[in-house]
Amino acid sequence: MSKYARDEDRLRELALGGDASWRTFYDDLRSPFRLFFLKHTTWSPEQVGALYQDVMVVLHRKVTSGDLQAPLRSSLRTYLFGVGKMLYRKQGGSKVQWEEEIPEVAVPASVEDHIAERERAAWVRDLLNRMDDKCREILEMVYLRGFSMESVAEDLQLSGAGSARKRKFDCLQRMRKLINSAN
Amino acid sequence: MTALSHELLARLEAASAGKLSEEETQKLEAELAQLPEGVTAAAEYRQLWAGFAALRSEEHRSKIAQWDADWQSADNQELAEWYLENKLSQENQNFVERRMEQDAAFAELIKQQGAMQAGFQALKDEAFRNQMDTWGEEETPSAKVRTLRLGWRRVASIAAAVVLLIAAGTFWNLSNNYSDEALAAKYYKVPPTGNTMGAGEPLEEAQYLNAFASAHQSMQDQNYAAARIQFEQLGTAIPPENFSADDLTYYQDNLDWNIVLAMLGQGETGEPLSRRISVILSSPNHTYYNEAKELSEDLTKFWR
Repeated sequence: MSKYARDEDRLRELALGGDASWRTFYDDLRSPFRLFFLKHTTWSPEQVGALYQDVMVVLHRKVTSGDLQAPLRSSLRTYLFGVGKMLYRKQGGSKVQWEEEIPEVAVPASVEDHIAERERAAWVRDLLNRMDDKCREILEMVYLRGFSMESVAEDLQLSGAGSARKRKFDCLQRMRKLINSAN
Repeated sequence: MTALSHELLARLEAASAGKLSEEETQKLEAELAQLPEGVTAAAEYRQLWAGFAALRSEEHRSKIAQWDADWQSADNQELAEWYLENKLSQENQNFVERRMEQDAAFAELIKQQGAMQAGFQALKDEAFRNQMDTWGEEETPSAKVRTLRLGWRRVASIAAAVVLLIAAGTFWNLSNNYSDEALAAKYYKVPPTGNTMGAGEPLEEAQYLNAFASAHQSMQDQNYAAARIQFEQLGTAIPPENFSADDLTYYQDNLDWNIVLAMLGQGETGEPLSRRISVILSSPNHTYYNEAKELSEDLTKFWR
């Protein structure tokens, strides 16, 4: 059995993307994270609070995209501290003697740039709003709520995962047409 | 506008998600390069997927901001506690002191928190003293796992006698035995805290184990409000550095479970309790997985 079996169970639960699991995870690790960074760095409680939010967004991206999967090489808590450590450095935090077990976690460059990220999000939201209801629904299910093709097929009463996949790609093609029509 | 086949799109999406090998990705890029506007089309799809990922993250960020707002009132209290326990970096200890000078309400909070923590410490010392007395009375030094079920069984046998005498008492009996407090007591087990305190252990570990023993003492005293605070405080504490992965799992599982029982003992049976239970149930490897399952069933009994 893996050394981090419990965390791996939790990771699988988080990968499903349910709000309740994320909320509990957020609540459980908020205080340890704050204490760790308030103890080891010079950042104020407000800065550490903002850092925790950024860290949670990075972790959410990594988990829902499948970038972070079992088997784990550290506990989720340590991993989260590792993400915090990287963001702290990138956001100009002063030098800290980190504990050895805190890993170096790569942070996607796109997530770091808030402004660009917000613009990208607004752009896709605008395109989605210009799609017909059916396409918007399927694209939101797949890309925003992390539904599997089987679940999409079941929810939309399609004949199967293949049919859902075909519809998803048709909708993506239509969305691409919208980009070109706007240019 | 060049339309890419679904098969090509599926591979492109897999490549964007980093799910293709280098060789497969190169092959895909070569195929795209041969199509008129294939490279442009691929770039547009990649932009779309990046946009979806950004939108998903932004939506998650809004939720986090709401969750964060729920914590605002607890944040100052927590900060006060860490300050009083000297757990913050020197800069943050100074930060709190500066804030106390500028913010009278915050200074008052620190004062109250200090008084409360001193009270808890006194309680903890008292509990530890009692525990030491118990060790002195035991014939063998080994720790025992004893349960609160002795008292519970006594209550149950009395209740059973009543049931024999008065049939109408059945429902009363059931609903009492399944009351929040009864369930908390039923599922509670005293852990073997005594044998973990060795003379040579680091101070940090001794403090952690003392706090753990004290929280369990509160459970045994059925002082669920205090127990919950103590277990939650332990949950936020950084465990001793010398704890092994097994130790971490043991203590974390124990804390998870006892927070559930303390909440139940306090009569808090709403959504926060369900969330705590479902976290345990989501992990079949959790030490208290089976207990959580049984408790879940007990909580849905119609006579409750």
